[in-house]
Amino acid sequence: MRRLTGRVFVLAVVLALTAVGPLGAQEQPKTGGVLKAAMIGEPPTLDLHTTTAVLVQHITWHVYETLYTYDRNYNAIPLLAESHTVSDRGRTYTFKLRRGVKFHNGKEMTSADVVASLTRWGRLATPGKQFWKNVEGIEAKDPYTVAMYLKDTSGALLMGLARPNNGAVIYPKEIVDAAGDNQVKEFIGTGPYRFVEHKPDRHVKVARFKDYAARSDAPDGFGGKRTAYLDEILFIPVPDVAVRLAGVETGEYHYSQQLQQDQYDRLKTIPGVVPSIIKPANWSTAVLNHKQGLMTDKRIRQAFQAALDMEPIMAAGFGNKAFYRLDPGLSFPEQPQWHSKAGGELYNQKNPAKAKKLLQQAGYSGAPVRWITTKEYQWMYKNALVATQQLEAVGFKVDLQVVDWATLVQRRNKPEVWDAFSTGITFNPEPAFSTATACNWPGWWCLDDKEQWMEAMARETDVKKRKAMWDKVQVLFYEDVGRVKFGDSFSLEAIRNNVQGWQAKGELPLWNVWLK
Amino acid sequence: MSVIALPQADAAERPIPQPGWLTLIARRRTTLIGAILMVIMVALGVLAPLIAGNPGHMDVAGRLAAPSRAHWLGTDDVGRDVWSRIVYGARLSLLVGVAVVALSFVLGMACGLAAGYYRRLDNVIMRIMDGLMAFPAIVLAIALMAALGPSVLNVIISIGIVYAPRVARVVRGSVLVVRETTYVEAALALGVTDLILIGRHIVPNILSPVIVQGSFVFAAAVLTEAALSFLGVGVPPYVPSWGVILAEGRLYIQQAPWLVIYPGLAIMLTIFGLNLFGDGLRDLLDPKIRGLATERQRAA
Amino acid sequence: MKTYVIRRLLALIPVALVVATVAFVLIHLAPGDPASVIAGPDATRDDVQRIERQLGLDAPLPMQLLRWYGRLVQGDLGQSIFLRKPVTDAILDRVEPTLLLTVSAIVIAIVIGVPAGVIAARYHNTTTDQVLMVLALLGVSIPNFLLGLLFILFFSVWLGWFPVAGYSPLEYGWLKTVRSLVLPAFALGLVQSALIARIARSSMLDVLREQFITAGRAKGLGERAVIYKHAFKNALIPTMTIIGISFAILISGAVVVETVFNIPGLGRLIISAVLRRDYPVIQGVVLCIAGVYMLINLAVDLSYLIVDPRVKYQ
Repeated sequence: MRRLTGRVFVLAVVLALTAVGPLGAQEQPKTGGVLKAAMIGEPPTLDLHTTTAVLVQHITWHVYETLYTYDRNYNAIPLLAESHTVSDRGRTYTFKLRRGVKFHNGKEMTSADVVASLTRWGRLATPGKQFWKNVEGIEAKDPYTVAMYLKDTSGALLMGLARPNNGAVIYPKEIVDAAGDNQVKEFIGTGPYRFVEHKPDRHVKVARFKDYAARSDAPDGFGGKRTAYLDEILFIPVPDVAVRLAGVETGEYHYSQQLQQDQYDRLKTIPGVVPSIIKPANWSTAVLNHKQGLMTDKRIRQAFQAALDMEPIMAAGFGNKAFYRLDPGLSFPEQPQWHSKAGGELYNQKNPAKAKKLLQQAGYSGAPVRWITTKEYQWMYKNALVATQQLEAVGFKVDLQVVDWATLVQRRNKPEVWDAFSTGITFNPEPAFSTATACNWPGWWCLDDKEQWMEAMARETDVKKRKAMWDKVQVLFYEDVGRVKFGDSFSLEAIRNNVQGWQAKGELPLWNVWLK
Repeated sequence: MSVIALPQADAAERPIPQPGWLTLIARRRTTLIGAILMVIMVALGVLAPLIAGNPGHMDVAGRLAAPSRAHWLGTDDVGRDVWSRIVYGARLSLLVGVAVVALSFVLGMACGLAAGYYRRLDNVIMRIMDGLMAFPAIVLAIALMAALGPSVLNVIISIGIVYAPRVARVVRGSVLVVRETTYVEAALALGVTDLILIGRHIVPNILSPVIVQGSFVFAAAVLTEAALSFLGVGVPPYVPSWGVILAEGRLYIQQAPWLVIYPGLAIMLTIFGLNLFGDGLRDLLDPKIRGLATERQRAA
Repeated sequence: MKTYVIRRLLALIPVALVVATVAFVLIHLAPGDPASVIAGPDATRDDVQRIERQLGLDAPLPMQLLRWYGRLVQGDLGQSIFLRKPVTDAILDRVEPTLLLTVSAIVIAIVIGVPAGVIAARYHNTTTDQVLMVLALLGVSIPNFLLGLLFILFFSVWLGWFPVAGYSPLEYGWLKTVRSLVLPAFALGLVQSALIARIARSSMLDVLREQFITAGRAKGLGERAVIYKHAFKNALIPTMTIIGISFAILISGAVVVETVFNIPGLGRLIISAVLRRDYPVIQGVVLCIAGVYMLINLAVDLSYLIVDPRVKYQ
């Protein structure tokens, strides 16, 4: 009897232990595997300094890094920088760089590389040019120290350096010098993945960089320790959304972006697929041409704005109500420190009578509004289509030109060929460098008042005062019709359920991601 | 998807026995079906404004609705009525078909007549035609669309240019045959001028194979336009074309299969009808030239 | 026989000239001057002028045409605007999938089409014949991209037997390549097989009516011998012609099907080139495809030497 009890006891203990399992066990990240990401199309370039196209940022920020980056609350924290000090009443920033950070070509990153890269960024990048207006000079004080001298204080400097889109990434000095004002020929950075090859229309391949100098602090947002678990990542251009969608359903791709929001309910039911809503993502807009053409006339712009009823425009583009929201703010409600409804009476006016009157006053002759849009972002095309119907109902003539995204990005730089183009303004936590209000970005909305407020806002360090200035800019945005905002939208992405470590962020961070 | 033709000069020389009348009747029935399908398509196209609503009108709130009384074939992803779009798609296909046949015939007849009648021009013209036919139909159409830009007119021009050489081949072959006949010789001996000879004697006698070619060119034009529009290099995307409807509908193939089924059916039935009709037409108009030569003619 | 071969080769030259000229003309058809089109919408005045001089576009048209021929003979197809590499490289990058797809499609088309046509001819005017021919006519009437879409729906999404899209390059294993090409090859090949079946049937029927067949039957030859030994061989010529022509049709069909299945071949290349207004690529691909077609026709013509003894003595 005792023997039996003894055996039962042992059995019970064994059972208990195996039932509980290894105490507090979490899945351990596995190294290895190739992640296949289905992207909306072919990147127009891989030189991040030269483009605001989100697709390029998605791919290249695994290869290049910035001095600062965002933490989980979108505050700036150091990445390539070690620390910084501010002196001279806020006008001098001295950055200490991390040591032992290797470029993919084996060279160590020093201040010379930082100075060269930042100067180039200040010359070529849209947010960079805005940022650089306030920069007096920059110099390398010693191999690991960079000093930046500003003309005036700045409330947004670190955020500007942390921004991923068209970001202030650090290239080796030799590559910057060789490129001049043209695109860089080699893609060398300090990131956890290194560039391997670009086969146009096939893929962009990046592979783990073995000598990556990871930070030691814990991952926080985009900062902290970045580990390249995957052997390789393949960014595959799949312009056809049906193929992107079907591909993630069948496991062909591990990740697909920009899926039709209509598919959300169905995707939830498919085993093996995990849909995620990226919120906030961007706001859909028609950018008007202030430099040349029909839209230089303010009344015509106002007529355009007045005629539109945003609900059907957004519903056509995004389908599922969970994926869009009508809101006049230049910033998203998710950022209460910046969001406001100032000037919102002019948003979503649904006033065809007013539009007709404005057109009459402007003496509109019936010249067609040349609107460039694309089907590669399905929602852009649909927004434009529904808006066109509404505009034509009040007397506009619209020449809708549907091209591919790469062509749109090229064409929008030429003021002679368009009056309006479709795009989305991506979520950007720092308004000072927003493309939505930039003068030097296609659309060329340059208004003295607005420029002054933007510059003041960049210099101001008090958060409340900055918000008041941003409100003023928003009012001007509506009065002068800088752009026409349709509404906030959220994007639908999907991953396979064996993709772990995923963060549902619009910027697509793939470090710290591993395959089960 | 291209229409090829080999000269019929050889075919006329071979003795071909008459088919059993069972075959003729079977063919007649299918010809009838083909004719009915064609008439339906033409009726849809011609009567479009009467039987369908505005194909571009978007009722966004009612998007992706299944077929119902209000919308017989449902609505698409921006709330447009599918029935209206299909009917106007028939109208577009009709327009493109007729215009392409007209254009390719004008060009093809001109070249074919000149090549068949004037021996000196024959070589030059036919080499040019051969050169054009060295490009597979869709590829040449795509290249032409790239140069001309997306519009309905340019689609017509591109497809017309693509099929003109094929018409020219058939015309030339027929002209070669007719040219050798005794009454043409007689007319020449009488001193009839070239133009009258061509117009009054040659053209009426080559009409049968050319007309048969017409229905195949029509079918090929409808198919090519649908393919070009499906690929995104045909008509602009806001023009209701079966190819465009298919391309947009395929994204919703699981939630809204009617977006793919109906335009697909429309294309299939139209081409099927045209092919059936063309087959029958050939049998009726010229029972001698059946079998091998005609099959070659209608290599799709 | 040699004269036949030489004549055929010589006949290619004028056709090749026309093909090259058509390709040359394409870029001049586009609205605007070719130099700014090539330079792209981003270019400045200076860029455009530089390209004009570089490509000799400031020379008179006949001069340009001659230079164009010259470059073609050297194999220089120009530089892709968008891809920033020679067009020849871009084409070579993508020729593998298109080639494999076209070859698989034609194999399917022949393997299904020829027997179907022969059987239909053998059982002429019976239900088998009628059924096969209606099926064939249906096959000829369905666009290959529609068939492709339906295949994706049935076999990839619902049944999961095949990948829904994409192409697995040979370097990753030929089995995966085959799997990724099954659906597109069938979408292309089935439609073509319908055509081949019809032609094979007509050829067989024509031959079967010939005197020598009746003679053979009168002699007491078995039906099998009649069909296979005598009729089939003679029906081979037109059937082979149609197979040659099928290649051209399949190459153009591949253009469409590649888009449906997201296969990175020549078809996708030309479509994206059109959408991006990358004219050098459009010209280059169009020339290549036409060139291949001409060579195939030549091969078919030369193969008559083997199959049709009458040709030898022409």
